[in-house]
Amino acid sequence: MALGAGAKTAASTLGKHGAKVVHVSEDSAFDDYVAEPATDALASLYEKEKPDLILFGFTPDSREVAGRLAARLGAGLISNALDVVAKDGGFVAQVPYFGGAKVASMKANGKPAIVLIRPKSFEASAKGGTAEVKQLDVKVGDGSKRAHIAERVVEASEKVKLEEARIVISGGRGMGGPQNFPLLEELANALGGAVGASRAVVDAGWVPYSMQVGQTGKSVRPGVYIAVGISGAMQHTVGMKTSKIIIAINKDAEAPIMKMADLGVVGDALKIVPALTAAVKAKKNG
Amino acid sequence: MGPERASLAGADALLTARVLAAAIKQEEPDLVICATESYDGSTGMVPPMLAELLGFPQLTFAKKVEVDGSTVKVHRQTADGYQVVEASTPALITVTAAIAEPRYASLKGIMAARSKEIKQVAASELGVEKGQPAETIEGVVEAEARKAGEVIEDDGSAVEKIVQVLAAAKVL
Repeated sequence: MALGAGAKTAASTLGKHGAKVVHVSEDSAFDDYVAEPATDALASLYEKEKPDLILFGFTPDSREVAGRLAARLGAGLISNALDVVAKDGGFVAQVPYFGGAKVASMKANGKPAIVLIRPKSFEASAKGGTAEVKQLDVKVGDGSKRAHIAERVVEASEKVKLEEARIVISGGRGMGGPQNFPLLEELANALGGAVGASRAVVDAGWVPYSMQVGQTGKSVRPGVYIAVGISGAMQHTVGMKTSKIIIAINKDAEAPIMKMADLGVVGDALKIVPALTAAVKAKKNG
Repeated sequence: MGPERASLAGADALLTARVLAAAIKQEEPDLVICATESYDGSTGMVPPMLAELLGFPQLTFAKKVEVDGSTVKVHRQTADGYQVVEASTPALITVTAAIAEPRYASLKGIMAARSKEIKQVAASELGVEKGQPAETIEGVVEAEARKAGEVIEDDGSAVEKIVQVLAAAKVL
């Protein structure tokens, strides 16, 4: 199902990735009101189609709709899942617990089951099909037009999207303060990468939430992840540990990040990062 | 830290939400305030379930909240900024960790807390049937750990080493 502006374009993309039928509605209510219109649409489609499994991405908007829908249908729900398989008449999914320290195997007992899959859990593979697009026959009632999105403010001005970057350079407390984050941006520019951050520095207001990597932020899976001044709390590492290569720069040799990095450098980030930027530029120009 | 009364609950997300909804209904609140998610399960599902069961609109991921009469307005954090979201009360909001620094409990507050009421209520007293759990945990294992690589002290050669790793990963 694709709802709101751009639903038809999304349907075509979904078709290329294997969807057979996509139900669409471009009613502006789906963009203008939080959760309730989409919950109505899904509940009404559920009544018609009676699927065994309803899948969502574990994204902020989806999880709100999924929660309301589960309560309305009385459905079993598995959130933040890494995968899902059919087993013994139900569905079982692997779910990270305690910020990723443990993995629980959870079973949804009833039908329908609602499962939310963590972004980046699967590689998106385009198979080149075409989906049948069905117009959703749903009228959003005024009773569901309550939490009104009156204004949208874009704060991020990232050149490279964090989730799509081949290289991510993230900073934590060890950067010393927001005044030093431009050092990471300069390195990111030199490498064609994006800048991320730990939750600690986002909560401290050094950088916007849009840069946060981890359990409560974005999940990334770049070719190279450079963690600068980040200790490596589970909360953070669950969002980046599937990166192909991890490089950590930290003054503390005992930091948890050092135990998962392919290369750990113990030293002063504020000296190493500018020197690295200069070396990268020199290599590119030479 | 300030609340007048506290209640306790614990179960899977939907049962948690059902128990909370039943308890909250008795209070007839204008505003229900939740965090975005718990740290153990991180499902983030209880607040939207609770909003649905209470029949309230939900204003979520709030990093700023304003209440003016019967209107609640929040700055709802998004991937690239925020949205201004408004609704009439009663409503449910979820707030992010960045919304405020929890104040320290003062000695006076700690003393006063002792005499405040903590209601222990059984789910059955709230009219909630426990029934079959919607989800069950079949097993828990340690997450697969990444293997540690090489750790070096920066003696001036670290930059060269990082450049080699970047070149080997074909990003440079």
